[in-house]
Amino acid sequence: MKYGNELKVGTAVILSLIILFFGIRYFQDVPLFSGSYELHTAFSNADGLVNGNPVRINGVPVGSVDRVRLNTEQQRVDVYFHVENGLRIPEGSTTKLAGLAAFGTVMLDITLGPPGNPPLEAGGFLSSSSSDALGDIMSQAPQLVGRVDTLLTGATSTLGEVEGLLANPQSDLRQMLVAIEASAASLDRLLRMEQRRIASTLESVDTLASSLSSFTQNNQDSLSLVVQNLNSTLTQLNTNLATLESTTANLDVLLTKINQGQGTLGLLVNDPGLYHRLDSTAATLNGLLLDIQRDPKRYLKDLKLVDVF
Amino acid sequence: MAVSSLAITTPIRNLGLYVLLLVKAFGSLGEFSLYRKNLFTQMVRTGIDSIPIVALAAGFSGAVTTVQTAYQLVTPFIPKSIIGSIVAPSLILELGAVVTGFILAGRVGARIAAELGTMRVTEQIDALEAMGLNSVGYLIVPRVLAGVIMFPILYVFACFVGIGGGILVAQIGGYLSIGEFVKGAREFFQPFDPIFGIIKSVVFGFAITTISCYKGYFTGGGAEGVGKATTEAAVMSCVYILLADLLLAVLLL
Repeated sequence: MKYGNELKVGTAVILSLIILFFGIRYFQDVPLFSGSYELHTAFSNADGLVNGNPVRINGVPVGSVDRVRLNTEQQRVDVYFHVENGLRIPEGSTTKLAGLAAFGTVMLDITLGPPGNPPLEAGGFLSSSSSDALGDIMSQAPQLVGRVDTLLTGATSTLGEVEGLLANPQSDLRQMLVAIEASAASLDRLLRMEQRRIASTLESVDTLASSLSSFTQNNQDSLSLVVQNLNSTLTQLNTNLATLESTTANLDVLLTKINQGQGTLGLLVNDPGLYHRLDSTAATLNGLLLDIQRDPKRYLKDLKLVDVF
Repeated sequence: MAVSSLAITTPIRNLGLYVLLLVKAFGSLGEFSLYRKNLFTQMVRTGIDSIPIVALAAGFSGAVTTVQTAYQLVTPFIPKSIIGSIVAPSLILELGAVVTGFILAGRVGARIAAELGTMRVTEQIDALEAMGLNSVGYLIVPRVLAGVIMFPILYVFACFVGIGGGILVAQIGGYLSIGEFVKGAREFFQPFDPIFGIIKSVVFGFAITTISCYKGYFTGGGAEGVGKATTEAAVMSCVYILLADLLLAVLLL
């Protein structure tokens, strides 16, 4: 083997280069074979984000942070990160920081935009949405503590005043309490005095209740009969009402027909012709009667009324 | 001998001698045909033959670091993946290079010093010079180059086996799962870390081989001198590895 040593050395070099390349890619969280593309975002506060921190979409790691650069001109933190190739991130997606540096890891969360939007190109910019609920809580905590403190101070002073009022025998509260106490004592006395009467009243009420109960038990049959009768009466009434209802409906139909001028009655009601004719007939009859009064012989001649009488 | 008397003079003169040797070695870099065959032999002896022992040491380092980190992390508030975040960078930044360095200081440094020392005391180097050969180019350049080239490769293998050993022990010993380990390692991984480790390993390789060559090349005093040179080469290599380690960490991190 003339090239034995060279072969061994070459193999070792190639092997170590492969391990180095894929090792760095592996620990950088770059997919080993498929590539990745870089995106860019900016935060007002990086909150301990450093390169190597994972990038996640809906909790699934898809890449890692490459660089975190302080941009003093625009007073923000530029964050460059890469995600796996073939991962479609639509325009309008936003980034936010998740996790706490104090508890281990800070992560870059991507909230995907509307799926209809065109995907971001490599080097594209994602706007950040300030989230950081815990940070908000932390920032609001001092105010909250202040308020609680004020509240507690107020409560303490109120309690002190109440205590003062109670201690002062001239105060309204004290007098009211005294009055309530007196009332209670009076009530107690009254109750004691009237104990017998109250007892007898209660006894009477009890007797009344028991009589009512015994009455109900004794007349159970008749009561049930009464109820049955009432029931049947109500049923009857119900039937009658139903009949009435149908009658009313029929009448309604009839009236509708009359109103529309259908049938004899309808024509009679709606057609004024009969009335006009009757009127003219009455007028003619009137004339005829007047004529008869004036000159009866003209009509009665032929009838020979004289012969009749 | 003038050379052996120089070897026991002041440290500054020693440093000067060391630098002059390096200058001569760098001056001989162009004569590739002179040391080509030797270079590959040295690469195999320094690098390839050291892979098993380096892998063994690194694998155990990773495993022990994992177990001890798990032992020390008893607080329930710290996620287990932190063990991965500690073990992987420890190996990549420090243990991978330094453990390899110590092993090579013993294995390669001692061998170089013994070889060159014996050649010196048996006057083989003088014979080479008498034959008109550039002894520095022929003997030292291939050894130093082999160290500088093979050391980063050994470092990569050491990191690979070390992290693998850590993961294996974490999984088998039930300390944490592979997924947790890798997650933790990824969280705090900086791409510069392995680059820094490679820079370190190049410096360590250079330090070990040049110190050992210097010690061997300027050996005097027969068999006893060879033994002394060998011991000094191994010890001085370790000392300068630690010094270089600190210096590089301060300068580059």
